[in-house]
Amino acid sequence: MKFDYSRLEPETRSLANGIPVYGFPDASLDLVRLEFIFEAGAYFQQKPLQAAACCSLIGAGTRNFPARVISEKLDYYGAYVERYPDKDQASVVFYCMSRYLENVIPLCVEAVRRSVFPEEELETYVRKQHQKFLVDRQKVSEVSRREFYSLVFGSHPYGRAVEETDFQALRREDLQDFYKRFYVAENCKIVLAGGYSSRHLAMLEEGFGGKDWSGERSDGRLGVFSLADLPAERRADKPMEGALQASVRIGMPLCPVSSPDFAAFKVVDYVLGGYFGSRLMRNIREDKGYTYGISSYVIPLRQVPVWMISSEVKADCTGKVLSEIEREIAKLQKKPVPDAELERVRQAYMGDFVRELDGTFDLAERMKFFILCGIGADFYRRNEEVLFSITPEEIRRTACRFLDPAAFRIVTVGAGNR
Amino acid sequence: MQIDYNETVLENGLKVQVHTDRNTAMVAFNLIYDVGSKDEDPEKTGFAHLFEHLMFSGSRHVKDFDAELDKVGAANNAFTNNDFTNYYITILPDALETAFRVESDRMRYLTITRKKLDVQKGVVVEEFKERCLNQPYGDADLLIRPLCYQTHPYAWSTIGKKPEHIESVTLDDVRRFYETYYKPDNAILTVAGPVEPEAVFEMARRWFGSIPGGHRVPRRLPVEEPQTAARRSEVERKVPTDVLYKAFHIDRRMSPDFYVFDLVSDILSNGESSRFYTSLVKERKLFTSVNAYVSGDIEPGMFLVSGFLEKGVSFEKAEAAVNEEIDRMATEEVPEEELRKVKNKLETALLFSNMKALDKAMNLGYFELMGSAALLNEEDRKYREVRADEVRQAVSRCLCGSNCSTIYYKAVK
Repeated sequence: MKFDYSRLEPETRSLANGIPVYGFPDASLDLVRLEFIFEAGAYFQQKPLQAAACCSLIGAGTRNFPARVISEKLDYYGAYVERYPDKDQASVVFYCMSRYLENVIPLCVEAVRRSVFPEEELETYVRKQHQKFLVDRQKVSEVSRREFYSLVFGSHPYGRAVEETDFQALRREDLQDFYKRFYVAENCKIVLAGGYSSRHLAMLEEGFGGKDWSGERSDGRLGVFSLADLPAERRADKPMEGALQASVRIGMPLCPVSSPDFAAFKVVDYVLGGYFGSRLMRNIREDKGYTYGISSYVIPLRQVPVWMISSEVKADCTGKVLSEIEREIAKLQKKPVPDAELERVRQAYMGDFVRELDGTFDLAERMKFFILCGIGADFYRRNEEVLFSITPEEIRRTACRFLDPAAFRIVTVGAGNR
Repeated sequence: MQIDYNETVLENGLKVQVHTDRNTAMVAFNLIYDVGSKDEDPEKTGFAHLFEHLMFSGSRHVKDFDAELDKVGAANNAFTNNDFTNYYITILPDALETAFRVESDRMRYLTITRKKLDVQKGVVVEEFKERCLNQPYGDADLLIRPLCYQTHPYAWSTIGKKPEHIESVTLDDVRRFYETYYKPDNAILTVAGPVEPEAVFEMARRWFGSIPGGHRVPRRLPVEEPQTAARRSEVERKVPTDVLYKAFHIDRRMSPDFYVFDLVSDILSNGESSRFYTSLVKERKLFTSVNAYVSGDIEPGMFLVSGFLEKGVSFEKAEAAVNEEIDRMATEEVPEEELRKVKNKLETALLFSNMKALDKAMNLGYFELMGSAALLNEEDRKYREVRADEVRQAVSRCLCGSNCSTIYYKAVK
């Protein structure tokens, strides 16, 4: 084993009200990363933009401080705040120097527990997001991302794209409702990493451990999901006037991340498009020069993850790129991976893994994914075992089983005349 | 923040630095060549970056550069900017010698073929489109630079002035460039991670020691004359929103000016309590977002402002409001508390940008390129020492109309 998997296992405690606190202490750092993860993603919203706006406006005005005052204070202590509204989860991350953490924690309490969503903050947010929406609509990569999720998920909450009219329809009450229902202790998990002390843990207990922000767990609201409910449509080609490059996405829904087959599929994915030396990169970039980059990857989603290949390609070579991708997949399904390539893949994959989890903050960041998929360090232990024991024939069979071209969804945006 | 290191210079002129960091599993191996797009022929721009791509084509004893590194679980990449070209590898300590072997081989024996050159021209032209030509506002940098710089080679972007320049490169150009710049006495090697300095120096001597120096002729760049009158330009593009761009000349990265203007840019636009955000975005609703930043170039650089206009707001009104905020900084001293705030934010950012072994290796090499790696440890102090009266004076000296280039980037109706 090249990686010490125990590093991925946090020091876990519970606050009095049951909120888990996952700790990754590292006294060598003068910095702290404090994350609040809520089961409050777009999946749970009643209305488009509701979840994203709610998460993005956490701390922009609280019961005791107007937005300007709280940001003034956070900035004064040199703190940074990042907000990540995703499809399943929403999280708010605070970064600051260890020496100011005790000043910052009370501000985190204000932001996380006492946000009030002032009208003017919502208005500023909407103006900015609307403008970003208009710009994104001209980017082939953004349009194809949107189309791809619509194609795969249709009317499922993962597939619903934001429309221009959604911006005007969003009300302050929508955010207040959503916040009240989902930003409650039962839906919260805390991840603390870096140079912190027991005093800071006591402050978290005091600020977040009370019974006074109790509510209903949102996982009770998860609907029943069936692949059969996904749309039958398999392809979308959207023109984009004047595009010099086309965006191409090919993919499909995948087995759960926690399923036993996932590790073997990750090897197939890595060989095909998971690293710089992958077959797609070597063929389509390094041999043909049709693109600056092409890769494949898995997007972990709670109900059903998706796998996709994406690239921006010379607009008039879109057809050629699609058929080269098809050829590379067929090759993986017909011929076992040569031993030398497999050895290269094993080392490169493991190297990437060790690198991605090298720092304490990298380990802490991984908790969100673990929580989403209901897995832990064992997931990576198993990945390594499979990586080093899988045979070329097993890789071929896994490619046959998972990569079914008839199940692929294909999106092109901005392609030349085909 | 204190980053200790040991250094030596090989007989052929290669500078080698080692920083020991035992809190990491990986060793960072960083090699800087002192050549960037500022060294290009104005008719063959984008060349230094294209050449960087060719450095991955293989060399006499290392046919497939990436494969050799993959085999030992190492990752590698590179970037080029106006000032220099930076190659980096992260690798397990046991395999470190592989990094020395492959990197020294391509410094001495790079294989250059027509097929590789042609493919990489294609790849780089696609990169040009992906970053600049096929993105809304992607060409802004291509427009602002030649307005701001009239003689200095910062007039063009690292990606080049236009794809045709990249397509015109010949094998001879490539060979000449390699012979001139890719030499040990034009390079800085920095290794950081769980390593012993002496062992690293020994490897450096073994693998790089016999490569002859190039004795490059010292760089003499055209000098930009001080700007004396406002410059303006307007373009129309198929974009959804009007954008205002402004660029002012400021002094080089290692001058006191840089620290002052980095703080000024933070006062204006870093965070939700910054002046531009609270006044121009939230209160006056003239922009949906507006940013200020410094280019941070080694030669005299730029202080830049870019802002997305709110629908229905005229360029004149938006620009006047930006100027008002700037003028306020030229006439009134920044309150002590506000200055403390941006200094604290910068300290956090500085700690962040030196967290990992690779960050530290890159930064040590970069500061060595600008004079001495030891200067990296002076950064926090230099920011801390900036006084409110210096801020006011610097703003009034540099952020004025006659030192400014402005672009109205108009959305076609």
